[in-house]
This record gives sequence, structure tokens and C-alpha cells, in this order.
Amino acid sequence: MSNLSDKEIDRLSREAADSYEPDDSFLSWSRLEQQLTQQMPERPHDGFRFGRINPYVWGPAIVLLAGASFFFVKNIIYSQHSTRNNQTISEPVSSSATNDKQAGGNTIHLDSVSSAASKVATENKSASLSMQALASADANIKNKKTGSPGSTQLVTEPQSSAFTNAASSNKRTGRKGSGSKAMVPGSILAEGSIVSNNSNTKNGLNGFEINGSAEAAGTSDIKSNHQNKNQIGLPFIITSGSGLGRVSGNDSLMNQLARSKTPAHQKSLHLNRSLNIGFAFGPDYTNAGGIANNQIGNNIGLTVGYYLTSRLSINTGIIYSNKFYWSKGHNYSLQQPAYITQIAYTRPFAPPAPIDYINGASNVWELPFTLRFDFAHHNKTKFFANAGLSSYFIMKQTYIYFFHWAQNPLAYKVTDNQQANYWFGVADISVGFEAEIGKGFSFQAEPFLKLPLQNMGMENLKLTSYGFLLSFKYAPVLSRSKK
Amino acid sequence: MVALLPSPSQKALRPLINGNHHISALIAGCRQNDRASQKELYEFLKGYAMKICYRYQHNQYQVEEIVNEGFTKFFKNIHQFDENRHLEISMALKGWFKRILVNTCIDYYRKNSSYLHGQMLSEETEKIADHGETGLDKLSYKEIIEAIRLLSPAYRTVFNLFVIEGMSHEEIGKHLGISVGASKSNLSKARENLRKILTKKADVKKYVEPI
Repeated sequence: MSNLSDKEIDRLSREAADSYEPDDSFLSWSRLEQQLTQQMPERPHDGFRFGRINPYVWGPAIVLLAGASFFFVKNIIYSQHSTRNNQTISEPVSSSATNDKQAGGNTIHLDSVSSAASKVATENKSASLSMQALASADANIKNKKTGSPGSTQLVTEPQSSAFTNAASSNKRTGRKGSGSKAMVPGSILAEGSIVSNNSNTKNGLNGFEINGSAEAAGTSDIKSNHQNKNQIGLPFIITSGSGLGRVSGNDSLMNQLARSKTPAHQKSLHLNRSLNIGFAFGPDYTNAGGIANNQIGNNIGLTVGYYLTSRLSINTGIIYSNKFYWSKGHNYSLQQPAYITQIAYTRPFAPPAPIDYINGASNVWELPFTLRFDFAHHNKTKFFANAGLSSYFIMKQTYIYFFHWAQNPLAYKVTDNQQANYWFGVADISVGFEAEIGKGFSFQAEPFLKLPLQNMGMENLKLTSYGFLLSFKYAPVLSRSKK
Repeated sequence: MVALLPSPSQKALRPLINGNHHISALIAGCRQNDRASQKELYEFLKGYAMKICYRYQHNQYQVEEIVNEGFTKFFKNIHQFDENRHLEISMALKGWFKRILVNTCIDYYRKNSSYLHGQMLSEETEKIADHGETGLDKLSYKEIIEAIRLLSPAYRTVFNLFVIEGMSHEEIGKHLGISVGASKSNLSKARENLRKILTKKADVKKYVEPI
């Protein structure tokens, strides 16, 4: 042995390491299992466990909360802003035309602007729309003399898309506007009483000015008090014969004006944005049998919607989903071998082996048909509820069965590539909000719940899915018209 | 046992049985932290794990500790193993598992290196070497492995990593936190001690295959 060289020692050692199999009988699964239980608590667990699924619960919840917060915070800011400026609208106008933007597309009744003015009857601080308030609301109503008495320009610088749309449309009509965003042809008649503490108000033969930025031409009958307040007496009439109207103001004023009931002149611009198409994606969580799941599926697809009325729309699309789910095995039985295309199992098993758990995965094309109702609308954000039926077209199913045979834990895998169609097999419910992010473009967040109406898949599972869809949508202008 | 006989339909399924799929199913189960799958994979791999860890530790309790630690790491990180990249999944899985085990052995060594460093043969070495347990005039694989295990931890670890695992001295130095020179020195002394152990263990003139 003393002649053993280093190389020989190495070779013998390698051979021994490769070939020698030490006794492993002292190794114990139970001790490892204890260690695993401490470091990796066993899954799956029965029943609903908030901790397990919280990402899927609080994810949509956060999205909804963010939307609702945006809605309320904006309202609060607006109300505070109004209070600071001591602004009171004496006659809250009804909102028959509130959602003209949505109604069958976007319809803007600019004629209502003029009639809205007739609704703005103000009195001093308590029941008046003060001139100062108008100014603080960034309202710049300019009635500019256009060179001849009787012509009035109503200038709008709206923030709302409705007016923006109107503006862009009017630009295309070719009417001159010298940079104005909305050109309202025709006469504008406004009646009302405006009382202001702002001494900037002045009247004149040719017009009036609000906060130093408004002028009116026409047959305005204006009374003003230059000592403490300026009062524009009744009737306050702004007329324009055939001149161009220009209105400048922010959403708050414009919305008030746009809500007027009694249009004096029926002139409106109609932008038909009834149709919208979108790209949707989001996580999908599927449950089949009440067992918590930590695998997140995916949804990705295209959506199409069409507004039937101002608030009601029909929606469809095509969505590709990967769904993963666990199920208790005792609810199910092994399928007939005809369904089994692959089996991974090295030992024979005795039927019917009690199945402990099933781990399934499916690739699904989903065809939803839903009816959406917009129940609230604030500025550029719509809040909606959506309900309908979805059809599932399952393209591929993979199941791993976990069971015991002769007290040995075993598993085998089955894949079924046969397509299975389930027409209107799922009830689809969702709520969410849609925020406009640009001309015709919008972002939508939509937490959903899909309830099974029938058993699906080769194991006849009731697949309940929930998650949320995020969508980017575009509503093209289908037509423009004036009414 | 009659009830356990496969039905005709199951006999038809037998040709479909595939080891790769079985391993894949077990891996999928382990990814779900399914105990049944973990246990079956443990039974499948524990001999292999034992074979590796056995060379690095002399104490049986420590061997089991390392094996269990290796399995825990294995199950925790099994999502990192991509079985789709390998034709022979079980071999790839073993290779991946081996790296985990060797690293676990190294970690264990480093954790205990403060009192495990030694230059001399242990008392047990002398005892067993003198004992001549088998009384054979030839060496078996078992005796060689046992001889390796009798080396001091520092020598044994370097010897295993260099000779069995095929690491370079640079890699060994990096893993164990020692210099390349120390690694070479330890290897040289490990070989020398191993030669002594084997010489004492039996007056062997010829190496033979085990039965």
C-alpha cells in the first residue's frame, strides 16, 4: 500500500464514491417532515383563508378604493374651493342632459349653455352666483363685442372632454374662432340676475364684464352698484344675432350651464363615440372545491363595447385565460382511460383509488356577453356595474392526481387536449371604474367574479374565478352631426 | 391483494407509464408543497443524498442533519428547477440536487470550522485502523469511503471537493474561505493521511471490487 500513488488514491476514491451506497436506513422521513412543517407549512388547506388569498382580495379592493377616493377627494376639494369663495348656486339645475356625453356617444348641447345662463339667478351672497365666485371658479365668460351690436362671442375653455370634443368639432366646421376652442354659431340668449361684490363688474352700452374679463355686446340691461356691489338687474339678456359665440370657463361652470333644462335654441354637436374597443389583461384566481390556491392565472384579450343608451352598454370580447386550481379529491373519481393521454406512474394502482387532491390547469378562451350600467359619473370617471354570461372554450386541461395506494403517496398526471365548449356556462359579475385619459382613450379597472352555471372540464369541476381586469380602451368617433 | 390487481383497462395504461412524467408530476406536487409528493421524492433521492453527505461527515447524526437540511433547501427552491430543459429529468434533478447537497456540506463545514480544523488523524482513525475490522487482505469501496471519513474535517472536505467533486483549488479556496496554498496543502496532507490509513487498515496488495 505504501506504493499507492496520489493518482491511484484519487482513482480509487472516485470509484468508491460512485459505487458505494451507505446504509440509509437511519434516515427518517418523519424527522424531515417535522422540519418541513416548521419551515414550509403544508398546503393545500381547506376552506376560505383570507391570508392565503389576500393578494386577490386586496388587489381589486385597492383599485376600487383608489377610484372611490379620487371621486370623493375631488368632490371635497371642489366644495372647499367653492366655500372659500363664498359661491352658492341659487338654483341647482336638474341634470337631464348630464350624460349627453355618454348618450349614444357624446352629444354636446351647446345651446344649453345659453339657456343655462337664464337659470343663473343670483342674489347677493346667500342666493346668488356672485361675480367673484364666477371668477374664482375660473369662469371667464366673455361677451366680446364683435364690431356690431347684437353679435356676441361665447368663449369656452372647457376642461371637460365634452366641450373639448365640441370645440374640436366646431373647429372643423371652419368657423373662425381666433384660437377659441368652441365656436357656437347662432344667437345666445341669457337671462338672469347676477349680483356681485366684485367691483370689477361694470356695465355698459355695449356689454358687461365679469371680473374684468368679460364683455358683452348686445341689448343687455344691466344695473350695477359700484359702491358695494355690482348688480346686474333683471332681465339680464345677452343676445347675439348671427355672431359667433365663445364661452370660456372651467368644468364647474360649464357643467352647471350644460345642465340647463330649457334650451332656447336647438343647436348641438353630436359626436358618436358609442363604440369602444379595448385591450384587457389581469390576474385570474380560480377556485374549484374550496381549496385555497397560490397559483395565479392570467387573463389577456380584446374587448368591444357599444353604448345602447347614455348609461347602458353591451360588451363582449375574446379573452384567453390560464386557470390553475386545486380541488379536493373525494368529490371526483378517476376518469375513464379513454380520456387519459398520458400517465406518469410507475406502479399499477387499484381502482378506485381514493384521490386526495386534484391540481388542475386549463387554457381557456372566454367569450363574454355582458350588460354594463354606468351608475355614477364624475368629470372624467365613470363607475359601473357589469353583469352577463360568458362562454368557456377549454382548449387544454392538465390534471395531477394525488392519492394513496397501499399507504404510499402517489401522483399521476393526465393531459387532455380535446377542446370542450361550454356555452354561457359562467355568470360574470363585475364593478369598476373607467377614467378618461385622453381624447377617446380611457383606462378601466374592473374587479370581477365569475360563477359557474355548469360543471366544466374533464373532471366536471365548478370553476369559480375572480380577479380583476385592467383595460386600455379607445372610443373612436363614429360620426359627427349637428342637431 | 386480489383487490389490488390492475383491471384490464389499467393494463392498457401500462405502456403509457413514463418515468419522466412521474418525476414531473412529483416535482409539480413539490412545487405545491404537497407532502405526499415530497415524501415520494425523498424516498427516491435519499440514497443518493446519503451517498454524497456520508463522505463529508463522520458522525451519523450530522449526516442526517445535513441530508435533511439539503432536502429542505431542495423543496424550498424546487421552483427554480426547470425540468423542461432536460431530456432525462431524473438525472438532471440529481445533478441539481447534488449541488445543493455539496453546498450544504460546505456550509456545515464552514459553520463548524472553528473547532473542526485539525492536522492530525483522529483517535478513531488509529483505533479503526488498528482494529482491522474486516480482517481482509483487500480493500473494498466501503473501506476506502470509511478511510476518507476518518480524515480530519479540513482534509476530508478539501479531498472530497477536489478529488470527488472535481473542483479547482481556486474554487475550493473561495468556498471554504481559505487560500489556494492552504487548499493544496490540505489536499496533499489528506492524501498522505489517507495513504497511511489504508496502509494500516489492511495489508492490501490488490484492490478488488466489492461483492
